[in-house]
Amino acid sequence: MDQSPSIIDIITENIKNPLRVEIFPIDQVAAHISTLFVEDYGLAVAVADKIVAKHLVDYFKTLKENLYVLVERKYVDKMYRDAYYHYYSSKLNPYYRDCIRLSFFDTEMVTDDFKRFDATGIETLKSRISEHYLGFLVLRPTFPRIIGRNALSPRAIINDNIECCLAKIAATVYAVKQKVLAFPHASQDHQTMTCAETTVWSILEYFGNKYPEYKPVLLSTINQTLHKFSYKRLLPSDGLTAEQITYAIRDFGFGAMIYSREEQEKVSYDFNSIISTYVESGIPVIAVLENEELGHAVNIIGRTKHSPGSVTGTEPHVTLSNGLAVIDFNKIERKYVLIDDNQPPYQLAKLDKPCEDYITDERWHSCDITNIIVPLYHRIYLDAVVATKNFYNAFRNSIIGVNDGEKRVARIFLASTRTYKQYVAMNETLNILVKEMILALPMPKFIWVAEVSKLDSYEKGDCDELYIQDATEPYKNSDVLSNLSFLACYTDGTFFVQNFGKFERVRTFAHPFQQFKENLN
Amino acid sequence: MTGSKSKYELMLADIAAKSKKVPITDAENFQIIRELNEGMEDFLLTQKKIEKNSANHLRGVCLNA
Repeated sequence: MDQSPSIIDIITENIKNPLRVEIFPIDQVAAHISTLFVEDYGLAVAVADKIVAKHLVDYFKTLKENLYVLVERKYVDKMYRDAYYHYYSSKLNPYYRDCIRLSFFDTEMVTDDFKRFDATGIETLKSRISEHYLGFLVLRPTFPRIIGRNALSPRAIINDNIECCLAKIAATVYAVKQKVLAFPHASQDHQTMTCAETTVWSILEYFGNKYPEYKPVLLSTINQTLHKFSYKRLLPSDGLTAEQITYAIRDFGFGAMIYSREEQEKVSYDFNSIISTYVESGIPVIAVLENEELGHAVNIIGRTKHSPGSVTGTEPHVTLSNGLAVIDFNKIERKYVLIDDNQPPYQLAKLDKPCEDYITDERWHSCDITNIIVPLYHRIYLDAVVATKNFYNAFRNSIIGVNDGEKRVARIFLASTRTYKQYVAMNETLNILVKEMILALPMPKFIWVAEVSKLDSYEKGDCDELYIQDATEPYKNSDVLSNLSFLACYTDGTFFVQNFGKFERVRTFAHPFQQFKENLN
Repeated sequence: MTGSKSKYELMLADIAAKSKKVPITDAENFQIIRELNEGMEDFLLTQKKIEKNSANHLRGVCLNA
């Protein structure tokens, strides 16, 4: 009796090397990938099993258990193809061009979910996929270092009580276009990329996907840029110096800043609070980790979430000359979110001896963050250290300061004017006269903001006072009779605004208002 | 055209009526700025020195994992 052919039979009979897609619960994926490494890349079974166990299973250990994974073979990955054409294809051994891509979902999906075959609306179908899509991971054939480009939502991670700098990264899943809110990550392959190149790549990938001013770049472009600044060959990669990283960041259009822990701490300035201020501003920083024998680079992209009580319960960090005791949000000890190319994304670590928290190899434990490189927008001239000092001078000012002697929480951050004015316009509880004044105030593209809250206001998610500085005024003159960086402040029911050296004052009324939370996701 | 005022306009008019501009005298203006600048000179000089040293501090360490 004749049996009618299945769709797979029809495809395989008519298409040479057809693309195939399968979906598995996450606990079955490792075994399947091991089989693919044997079938598609000719690895010995024992080798494939070991590579998967060491690299992929370790990655999966950080993910939630209820995920489903769509596996696509013969995936053309732009990042790996770039490395392939610029490096691997020039070798004697026949390296493979194609990758495997895994797409993650937080619910059970079947392949039918990706195709329209009845009256279900396109938007309904797409929104179901978007609702459950958690990002992708490319497995590249650079054995054993197989973890390629990936963008995974923190929602997929077990430790998801975090707030991070995230960008919407586009991908297709079984031919359906999707976007995931994630921070880009890839592991180093030890040949074309070491930690230095991956940190630069992921910073550029993040900004390129988030802001129209920047564009994502591939490794060959980073290498071309660094050629001008390197006395020796860049491939195979032997790592970069921190100066080369800064040069690359600057050459791609950023106003790069470097801060050294040793120098800042010589003058008793809290180096960690600089990192915190930039992270709170939604700006990921590159941290250089060093001990006597090792050097490494990672991105710091976020922090753990706080309960309001844990902030207000902190001992004040400083009492100013007007008697104001301040809990500085950027000085509170907490864990930060790291993107380390030797580990799965979103590792949690404190800023002192961070490797102790997430690397098991004890040789790393004495590493400290010695320097940070900050990719600022090129027209941000006022840096975190001077902006913070300026804010503290304002808090204790006898006219525009906070002079009621009640303890406060101060949170200092950079914000884009576009985002900040939207927050002001949408703020339900801000005094509407103040709202109108801020919206009418000409501002540069970025501003420094200090939100100051009484403890009970902070616990309700509110603040009581507000200070705004112009990020394009670097405050470099030491003999000035003006302080032009101050734009406006709202304190004790009074709104102050500065017009190029002349302060104006409108007395209205005090009312707590919702905090700004748009910098981190 | 006058027309009826929106709820927001009415709220704004109410707050504007209860608020007032309180001019800042030259002496007050000077005081605000003087206090804002207090200690800034020394602070900036130190920062300038740190910036210079920070750049020197970066040794040619290869950032290999």
